[in-house]
Amino acid sequence: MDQAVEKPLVPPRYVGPGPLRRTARGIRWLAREAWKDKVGLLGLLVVGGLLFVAIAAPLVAPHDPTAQSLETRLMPPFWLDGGSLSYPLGTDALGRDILSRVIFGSRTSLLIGVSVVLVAGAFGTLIGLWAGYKGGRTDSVLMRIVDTQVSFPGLLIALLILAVIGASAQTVIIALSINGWMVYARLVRGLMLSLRESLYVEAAEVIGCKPRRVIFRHMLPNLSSPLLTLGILEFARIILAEAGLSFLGFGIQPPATSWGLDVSFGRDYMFAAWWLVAFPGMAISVTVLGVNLLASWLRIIADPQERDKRFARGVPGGG
Amino acid sequence: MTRFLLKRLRQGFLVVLGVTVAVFIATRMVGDPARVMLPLNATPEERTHFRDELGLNDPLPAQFSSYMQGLARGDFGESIWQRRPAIGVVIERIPRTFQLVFGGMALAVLLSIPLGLIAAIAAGRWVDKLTVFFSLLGLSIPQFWLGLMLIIFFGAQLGWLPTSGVGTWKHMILPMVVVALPAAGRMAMILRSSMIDELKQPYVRTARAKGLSRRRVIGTHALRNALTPVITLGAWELIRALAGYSVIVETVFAWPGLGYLAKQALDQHDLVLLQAVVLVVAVLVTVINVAVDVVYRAVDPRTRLV
Amino acid sequence: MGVETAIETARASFNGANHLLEIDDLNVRFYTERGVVQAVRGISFYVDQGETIALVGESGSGKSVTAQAVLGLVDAPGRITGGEIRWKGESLSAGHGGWDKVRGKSISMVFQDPMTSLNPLMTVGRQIGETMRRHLGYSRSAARRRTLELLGLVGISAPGERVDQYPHEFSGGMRQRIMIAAALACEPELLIADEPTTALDTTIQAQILELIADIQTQMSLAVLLITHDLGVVAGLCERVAVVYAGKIVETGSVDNVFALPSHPYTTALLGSVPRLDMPRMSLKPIEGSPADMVNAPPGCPFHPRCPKVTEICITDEPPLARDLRGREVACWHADNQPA
Repeated sequence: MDQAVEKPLVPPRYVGPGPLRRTARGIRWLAREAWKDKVGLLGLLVVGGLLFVAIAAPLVAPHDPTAQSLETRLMPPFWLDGGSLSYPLGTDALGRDILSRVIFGSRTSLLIGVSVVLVAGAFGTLIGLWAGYKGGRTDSVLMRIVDTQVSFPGLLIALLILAVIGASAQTVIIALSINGWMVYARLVRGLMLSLRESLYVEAAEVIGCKPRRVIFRHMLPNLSSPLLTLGILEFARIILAEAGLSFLGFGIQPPATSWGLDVSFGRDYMFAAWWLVAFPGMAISVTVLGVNLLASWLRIIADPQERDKRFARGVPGGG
Repeated sequence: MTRFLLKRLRQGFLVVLGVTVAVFIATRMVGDPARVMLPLNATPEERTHFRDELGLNDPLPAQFSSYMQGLARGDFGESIWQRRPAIGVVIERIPRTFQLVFGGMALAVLLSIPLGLIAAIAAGRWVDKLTVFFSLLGLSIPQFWLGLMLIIFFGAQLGWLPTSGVGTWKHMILPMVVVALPAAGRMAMILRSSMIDELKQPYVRTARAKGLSRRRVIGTHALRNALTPVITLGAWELIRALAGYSVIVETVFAWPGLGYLAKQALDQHDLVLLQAVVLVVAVLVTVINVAVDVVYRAVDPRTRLV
Repeated sequence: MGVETAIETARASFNGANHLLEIDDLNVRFYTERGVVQAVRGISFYVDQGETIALVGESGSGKSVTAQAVLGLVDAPGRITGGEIRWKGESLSAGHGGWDKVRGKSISMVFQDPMTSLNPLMTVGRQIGETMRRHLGYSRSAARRRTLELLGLVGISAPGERVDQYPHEFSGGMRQRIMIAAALACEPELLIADEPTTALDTTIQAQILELIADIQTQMSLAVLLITHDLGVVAGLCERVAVVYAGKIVETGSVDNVFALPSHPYTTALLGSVPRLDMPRMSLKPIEGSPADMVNAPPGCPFHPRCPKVTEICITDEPPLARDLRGREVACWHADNQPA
């Protein structure tokens, strides 16, 4: 059998009209797809909502999240006895408005999540590109490093680092990036190995493209869709990790706000005032669930086979 | 088989060595242990004395060699908080963590296999969508919050289960559920998707063409193949639980295992003890990794060639 | 319906024309996002006891789908949307559980790719034996004894050792022999071979075909061969049906059809195959691309690629009609047509 027949001569990703029109068309297509799949729509709405709330936090929050008032401490949510609509989700032990703290907490999650995904993603992708393009010894050495790091007790190392260099937003980003770059390297390297075999990369090399051009112009664009999905999944994981570190007291430090930190504040009062724990945790859960729904939906619409399967189910009796 | 085991053990040794070096770099080069470990009001004399005692004034290579020599002898240093050899403190805690982590993983397997199987068979129908939704929910809820909410609800409001600590079997239920839930969600999702893929494989069509029962086609032919990625993920989950989640879950439930010990060591600024915990966990992780490879070879005959 | 079927069956047996397998106006559709693919559009044919018949066509012509439909193996998004499949006069496709009685027992099947058609995690012995345990109620040891015999029959040396090995320890040709052994386990009356040699090396192909031919005479087995390889058909089969765009365009005895093809598609198909008996003949590829099965053109499905195309081909579809030599052709320009 002639294997060459199977290889695509044209890059699988269609690059058509100019970037602006392409973007507009892409957005319209995504909107149509989202409307068809209500679960994907939910994910999109949650993530959109998170972005909006984080950016517009000072405008939507009813109070200053750090304003303390001892008269109004430990107020329950408005629907319980003693609650008030001016503090819809109640107040904490220092009389701070929980809703406002939840709203401002979204900024921390977004900031840490995006930063870590960018830092770890960029570094991991570079390593993966390098290993996948070079192959041979470089590849096996780099992948051995990746394997070793994957087997590390990740959270413990992060805690150790944070304990030694002191916890803050920046150090949390550093610690989580050190823990998170390997998955990108593995993904990119695996995809590179299969791409290297395809004819259009060979063709680019034959006509004399420099390695850098081959990697960045011809190969990287084909990695964007799996990388995007992985990045979104990692974003969800990072939000959980940051919340966990902050809950343990080795993440974001007061007076900064973080959902994980607020849960840990509320822990001392949890039997008397459950809302201190419940609402920030709910914010984490809904955000992470939304991001996960978005990622699983993106994976489905990017995969023609999955799309066909979904369509076939709409046909009565088919199946 | 022996050669394979030796090779894997050598790789595992490299991992442990890597962790050892990383821990050394983290504790001696990045930060100042004296600053971390001593109280803020310590006098300069106390600081100098402390640094001498730990050998922190020696040049780094000398520090590194004495650190490695100590480890080779099994000497992990003396816990500052407990005033006795750190390794002993760590080893005492291992059984509790194993109880929690292995129990939780067993529960996760029991939950995820039927869920993933049902979802795959009913792919696209509402049963599937519901399963996927709850699996995603399970892996989206932060464990510390889930633990606290369960304590509030089952421990405080209903009073059915103890809120923390160890003792009876009742103490195990909530921590195990918290360890199991995210893992069960991820494993169910993986099983679902690998099962959907396997059901499309030609050998499944062959099995159907042979006139085998639906139960045998799905349960024996497809499921065994679909379980291989689940084993990989299960091992990964076990390692993550041991080396990460246990810190959070054990802290929430005051469960006296390795994770809670790590948190206590951090709170007590006891870097010696924390370092011992990290290294012991690295060794345990390595042992589990090798064990998983052995299991994998037993399950998949194709890997025996390598 | 019930009465009609009963009368039909009675008439068939009265005429002595009760075929082993009968496909009657089979329709299979695939519901995809791009539209409804009409993979099989009214295919009818029959197989008699002990005979070998081939379904020939390009990939995507619907021949493999037809073979899968015979055993009820068409999966979503595909579905049998019309027609009937009868085994010894009894309908398999109507009602529930019709296929359960024949699958693996009276009708068995060999697939194209022996690499992926065997379960990688199960020893070949168990994969052969499980059919007998299911259908014949064999004990584990009886199934094993018979498995060893079957492995010998299909030409696997040292069956005692190899029975406990896994598929990856065998070569492609060996795996196909194992597939055949598994298919023969319950001594079926019909073997459906769906491109059994396509994935194999040329030398191995010949061996596998020889094996099928041998077994057929030994076990008086009927064979339904699905292939795109006309050389295979010529060596093995008595009758042939040429499939194009989900329809049979020409059918008859292999000698007749191959010597003097009547349908332009058959002619073209024969022209695109190298022939040992005419070494100087130049090969002609078939112009154009296979028919679009979503928006099938009106008229004859082959007209966009046909050298003999005329007005009527574009507007009206030719029926499958019997010609003077006793074969059936669907072409307005064949000598059987009234026009």
